[in-house]
Amino acid sequence: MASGDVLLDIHSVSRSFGDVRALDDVSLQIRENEFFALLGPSGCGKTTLLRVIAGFEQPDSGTVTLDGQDLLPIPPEKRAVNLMFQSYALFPHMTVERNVGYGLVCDKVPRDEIRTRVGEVLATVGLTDKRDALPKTLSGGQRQRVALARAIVKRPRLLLLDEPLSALDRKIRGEMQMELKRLQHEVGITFVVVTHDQDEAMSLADRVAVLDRGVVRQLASPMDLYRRPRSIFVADFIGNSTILRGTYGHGQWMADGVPPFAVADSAREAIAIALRPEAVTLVPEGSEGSRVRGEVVEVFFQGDHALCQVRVGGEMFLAALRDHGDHALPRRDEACGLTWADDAAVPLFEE
Amino acid sequence: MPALTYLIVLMVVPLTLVIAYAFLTAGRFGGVQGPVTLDNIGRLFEPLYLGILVSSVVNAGLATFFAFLIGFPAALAITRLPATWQTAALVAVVLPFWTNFLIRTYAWIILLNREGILSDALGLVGLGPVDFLYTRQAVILGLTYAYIPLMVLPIYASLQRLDPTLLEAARNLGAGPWRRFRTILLPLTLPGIITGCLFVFIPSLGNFVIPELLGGGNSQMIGNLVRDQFLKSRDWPFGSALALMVLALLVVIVMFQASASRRTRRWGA
Repeated sequence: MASGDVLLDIHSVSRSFGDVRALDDVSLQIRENEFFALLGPSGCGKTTLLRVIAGFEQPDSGTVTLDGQDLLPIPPEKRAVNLMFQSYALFPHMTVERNVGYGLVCDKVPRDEIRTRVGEVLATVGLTDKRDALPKTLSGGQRQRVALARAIVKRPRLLLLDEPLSALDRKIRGEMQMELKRLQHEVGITFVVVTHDQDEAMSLADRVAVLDRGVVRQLASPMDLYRRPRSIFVADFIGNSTILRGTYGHGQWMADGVPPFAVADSAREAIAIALRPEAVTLVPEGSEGSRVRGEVVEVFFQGDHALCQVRVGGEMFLAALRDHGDHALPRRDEACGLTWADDAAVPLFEE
Repeated sequence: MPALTYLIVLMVVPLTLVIAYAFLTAGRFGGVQGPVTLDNIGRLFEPLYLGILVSSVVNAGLATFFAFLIGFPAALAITRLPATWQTAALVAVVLPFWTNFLIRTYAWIILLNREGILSDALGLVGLGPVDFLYTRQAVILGLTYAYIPLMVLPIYASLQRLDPTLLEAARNLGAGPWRRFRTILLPLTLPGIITGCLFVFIPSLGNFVIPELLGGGNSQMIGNLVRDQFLKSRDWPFGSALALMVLALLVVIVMFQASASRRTRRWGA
């Protein structure tokens, strides 16, 4: 099967809880073998969508098909979809081996085959020596590997991961992130990760759907999401940016409290423009090419760069200072100019 | 210190008395007198008394079994209710305890006797009249009814502590309802189940009111026997020996329970 074929087709799915519309006419297609992310703040409906796919929740309307087959009438225990729970949900009274083999036992796979397959998958996640351990004796990272092993041992068509990294500390997160990516290539299963953490989604996924209040706001590759957000919500949610509401007029962007500056014609219909900090350059006050002037409010040193907050009129701009090397960082209250390339201002067309 | 006093007054003293009485000789009008003897202990092993002990254990065991059969689904159903209804349901479970035990047992006589509601109802469809009262089944029914709340409450507490995502995980991995019950629900609520079973079994074994009222003369249990030794036969030493036998049996069972709950604690939270 070539990568690119549609595996999971979610069409016009809605689900309400009382007055809350958790999913509002959601449509998206997940392709064979891709690493897909559902990203959004808490309460955006991503968990509901996950539960719909797993079968723990029925939508009020809409269809979900897996491999062209209607998924909704199939009970959760019969779906070729496995889920790695946020809390891992390991069975505390079973050893690692029995936890991982549980799904195979349910499928009445012969004993010898269960032993081999569990052995293989434990080797893949590097837990061969923990076979006989009980979950409570494992570290957080090891528990997660067990949960992952348990979810992939059945070779599902689709693997759902609910906030896979949220329970790990920072150091292990990085390792696990790489591990997940490696595993996905190795086992060739379509992964869908649900997360509120943009870094997690951006670094793991081939494509990301950004959800907000039950609506898919944008579906794109991480790079496109970052570079070409369509809405104020997405620009604000992903990465840092300076968002300037305003109107276009005669090649100029007119925002409240900020002197007009030149923008590309593509901003004609925009309701706001977004500037990524790394596209904004700090220049000496009054120097040539300076688009706006302001004064430095705060400087945040981040290691490989420094983030500089600059007040321009009534707005706060963010500028990232790279390669500052031996140069002194700008000081608070220092007057400065800001400049950016013409195409650096990203037009935003929706709220 | 208050706990120690409490233990000495309510536990050590009475128990010592019972143990001491079991090795003495019966007085003519009750009470005990010398000499010290092992006769009472020896009589315990007479077939008549052993038979009553065995049938008592069977009755209490069946009552425990039925209480579990009804109590577990009931507890499970309660945990699935919305929070406010859970409280209401739990109150309803313990509500019968607010009525006198004897009165509740008498109510069963009205339901079960030959002119009772159940018999009449069966009569209407041509199956009656039936004598439910004064049968062994009536005793087991009575015991089950009397102690079922003591089964429901500890199981409910165990189920409350169970992480519901474990059941979803099992389901996601392909486990049907029966497998989920057998491999997840049952083992993880075992401490509550064992506690519930003990709470039903122990008072059932020693109960003498229900066998008397619902079983008539046909279904003596060990509790009746003990009571009769003290109040009718005036043979306190033999009554004490019988009581000790029941106690020994229960100690064995409680030790079994302790080892089982130690095992489940290893799993951790």
